[in-house]
Amino acid sequence: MIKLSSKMRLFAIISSALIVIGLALGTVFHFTSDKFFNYGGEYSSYKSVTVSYVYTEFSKTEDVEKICEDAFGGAGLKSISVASGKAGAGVEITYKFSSSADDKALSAATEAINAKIAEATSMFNDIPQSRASFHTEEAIRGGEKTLSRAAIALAVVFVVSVVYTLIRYKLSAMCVAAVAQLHCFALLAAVLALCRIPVTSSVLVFAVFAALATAVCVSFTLERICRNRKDGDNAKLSLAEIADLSAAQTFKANLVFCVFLALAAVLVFILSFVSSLSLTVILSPALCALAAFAVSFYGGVLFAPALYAAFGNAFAKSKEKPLNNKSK
Amino acid sequence: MGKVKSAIITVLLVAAVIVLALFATISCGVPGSDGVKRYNSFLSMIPLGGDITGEATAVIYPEGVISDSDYNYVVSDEDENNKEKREKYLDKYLSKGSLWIDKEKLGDDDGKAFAESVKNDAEIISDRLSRKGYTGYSVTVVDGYAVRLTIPAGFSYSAYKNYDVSARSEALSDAGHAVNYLTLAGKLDLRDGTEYDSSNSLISIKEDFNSYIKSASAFSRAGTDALRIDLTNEGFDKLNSILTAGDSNSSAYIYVGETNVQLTFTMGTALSDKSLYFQASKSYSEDYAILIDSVAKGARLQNNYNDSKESTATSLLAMTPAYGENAPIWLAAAVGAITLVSIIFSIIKYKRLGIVNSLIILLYALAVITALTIIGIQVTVAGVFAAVLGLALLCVSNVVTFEAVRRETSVGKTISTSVKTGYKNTLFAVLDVHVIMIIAAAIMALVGVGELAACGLIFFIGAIASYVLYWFTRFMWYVISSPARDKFKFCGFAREVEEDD
Repeated sequence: MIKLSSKMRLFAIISSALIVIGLALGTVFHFTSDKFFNYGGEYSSYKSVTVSYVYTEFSKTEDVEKICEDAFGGAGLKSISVASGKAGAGVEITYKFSSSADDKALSAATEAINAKIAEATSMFNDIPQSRASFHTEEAIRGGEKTLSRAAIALAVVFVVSVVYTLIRYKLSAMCVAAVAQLHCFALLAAVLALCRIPVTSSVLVFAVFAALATAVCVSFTLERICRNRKDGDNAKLSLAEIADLSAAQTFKANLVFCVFLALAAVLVFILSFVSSLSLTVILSPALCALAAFAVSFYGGVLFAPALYAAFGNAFAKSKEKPLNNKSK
Repeated sequence: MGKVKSAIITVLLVAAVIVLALFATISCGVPGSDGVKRYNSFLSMIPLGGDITGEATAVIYPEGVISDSDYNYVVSDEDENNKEKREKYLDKYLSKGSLWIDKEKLGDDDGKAFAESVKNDAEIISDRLSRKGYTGYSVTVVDGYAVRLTIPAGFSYSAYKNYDVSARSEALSDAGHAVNYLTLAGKLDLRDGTEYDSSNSLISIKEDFNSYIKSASAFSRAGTDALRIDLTNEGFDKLNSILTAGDSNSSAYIYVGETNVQLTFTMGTALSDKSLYFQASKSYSEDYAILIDSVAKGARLQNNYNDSKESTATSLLAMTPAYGENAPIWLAAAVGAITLVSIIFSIIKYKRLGIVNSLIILLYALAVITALTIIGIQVTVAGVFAAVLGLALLCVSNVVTFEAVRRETSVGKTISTSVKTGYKNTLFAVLDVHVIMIIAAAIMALVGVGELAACGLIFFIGAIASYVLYWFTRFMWYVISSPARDKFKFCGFAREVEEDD
C-alpha cells in the first residue's frame, strides 16, 4: 500500500510546477502572438492550394496528386491535410498548409503545378480547364462561442458536482472535490498551453471528459473514505491512514476506469492513423485524450486522497467535526 | 428460481439480443426485391460528423468578385465572338491574390472598406451557422474578398457509401439549402410576386417589415416540423390590414433582400394568432428561423453573394473526411475491439459471471446504437468517446460491485448474502457517480453548442443506460446463476472459508 498521504508535498510541487510553467508559457504566447492556447482546426487561419481538374483532361486523381506532391516537395512544403471532392465534371483537391508557410514557396509551387498541368494537357487543348490557385484563408472566430459555452458548461458541472458532494458528505469532502476538480482544470489547461496541443472542439470535449473522469475517481474514493471511517476497525485509524487505505481499496476500480478510457483512446487513434495515414490529423485529439485521462488518473487517484488527508488534518485541528456520511 | 424459469428467461433474452444485434448491425438486400430494395441497419443510419464522413464546403463570392478560374476561362478564350466580353473583363477587374475584383468595388481606398464589409458578413454568417447546431463548422475569409463555408456533410454510413442514394441527396440538399439561405443579404420584405421587382413590395416605404417580427424559431411537434414566427402587437395589426386588403386569389411572399424565401401568405384571410407557422422539413425550418431571426434583429449582410451573372454558381463540394475515406469502418472496428476487450477481460476475470457482464455490455451497445438512430444525433470521434465513457462507467460500476461481493465471500458468507451486502455497500458509490455524470451530461447538452452538446446528449444516454443496466446485471446474475450448483465457481470467486453445513 502506497502512503499517498505523505506524498502531498511532492504532488503539490509537481502540480504547481506544471501549472505555473504552463500558464506562464501560455501568457507569453498570449502577449506575443495573441494565442494563449494553440488554436487549431476550425479556430485557426491557414493557407491553401486548390487544384480543380476535369475528367476530360485527367482520368485519375492520382495523376494530379503526383503533380502536386512533386511541386510541393520541390518547394520544401508539407501540407497539414488533403481533401478532395467531386465538382461538376471534375474533382477539386484542397491542400491545407499552416498560416506560417512561406507565401513565395506556395506561389512558386502553384505556378509549377499549373505549368505541369498545361504540359500534360497540351495534347487536348491550348487552354487547360484544370487549374491550381493559392489562397490565404483567415479564420472567423465563430469558435469563440463554442469556447465560451464550453467554459460555462465546465463551470456549471463544477458547481453542481461540488454542491452534490456537500449535500452527500460534509464541508471537508466538498473542499477535496472542489480542489481536485480545479486542480484538474488548471493542470489540463497548463498541459495544453505547455505542449501547444492544437485546441479544437474535440479537444474541448476531451477536457470536459477529463473533468468528469476526475469526478468519478474522486467520488469513489470519498465514498470509500466515508465507509472506512464508519467501519469499526478502521475508525480507530488516523485520517492519513484511512485516506491511504481507501485509496488502495479504490485503486483497482479507478485504474480500470482510467486505463479503459486511455486504451480506448489509443485504439481509436491507432486505427484512425491507419485510416488517414496522417499523423498530423490524429495527433491533436490523440494527445489531448491521453493527457486528459492521465490528468484524471493523477488528480483523482493520487492527488485527491493525499489532499483529503491534508484537509482532514487541517479541519481536525480547527476543531471541526471530521467527515461524516449523512446518507445512512 | 427454478431451472426451467431461468432457462426460459435466459433464452428469451439472448434471442432478443441476437435479433436486435442483427437489425442493428447487418445491412442487406431485401429478400424478394431482386436487389432493388436494401435494408440499412441502425448502425448505418446514424448521422456521422464531418471528421468521419467528410465535410461540405463552398466558396461564396460577393457581387463584383470572381474566382481566378472564372476570370481565366474568359480572358484566355481567344474566340472572336468572345472578344467584347474578354475586353470587358480585362478592363473591369483587378487581381487581388487569387481573386479578381471589380475596380469600382475597390474604390479609393484600394478595397479596404470592401474587405472590411466582407469580413463583417463572414462574422454574421459564422454566427448564423453556430445556431444551426453543427458538430463542427468553419468560416474563413478567402484572400480578403470571398468567404468559404465548411459544414459537416451530415451523411450516415449508408449515405456516405451511396447505398442509400436518397439519404445522400437529402443530406447534400440540406447542406446546400443552409449555405444558400444563411448567406442571404438584405432586409425582410413582403411582396406580391414570386419574382423580385422593386415595385412589388406590400410594405410602404415609411414602414419596416423587420419591426413586425419579434422572433423566429424552428418548431417541432408529433413528427411535424415548422418555422414559427412571433409577431409584435404592432406587426400583427399591420400585417392583418395588409393581408385582408388584398385579393383573395393572390398570395404574398416573404423576401430577404431580393430572394423569395418561399414563405407564403394567402391574401384576403385575416391572421388569427400572433404566432405564424410555416410547415417545412426540420433542416429547412431551422434555416428559415435562423435567417429571419438574424435579419429581424439587425444582423444583415452588406454584400450580395452567389451572383450567377458574374461567376459560376456556388457549388457545394462533399470532401473526403480528414481521417481518410475508410474512417467509418476503422472507427467501427475500434469500437468493436474495445467492446471485445471488455468482454474478454470480464470473462477471464469472472468466468461465467463475466458472460452475464458481456451480455450487459452488448445490451449497452445496442441501446446506445438504437437511441442514436432514433434521435439522430450527429456522431463524431469525440461522440464515440462519449459512448465509450458510458461503457467505462458501466464496467467500472460492475467491477466495483463484483469486487465488493468477492470481499464478502472471502469472509465466509454465502453468495446470496454476499451479493446482497456487496450491492448494499456499493449502492451509494455507484449512485453518486451516476447522478453526477447524468447531471453533468445534461448540462453539457443544454449549455454547450455543436460537438460539445452532441457529446453531452450521447453521454446522457450512455450514463442512463449504464445505471439501468447496472441493476439489470443483478437481475441477470440471479437468473443465469440459479441453475448453477457451485455459485462460487460460477463467479470465479475462491471459497476462502469452508461453509459450515
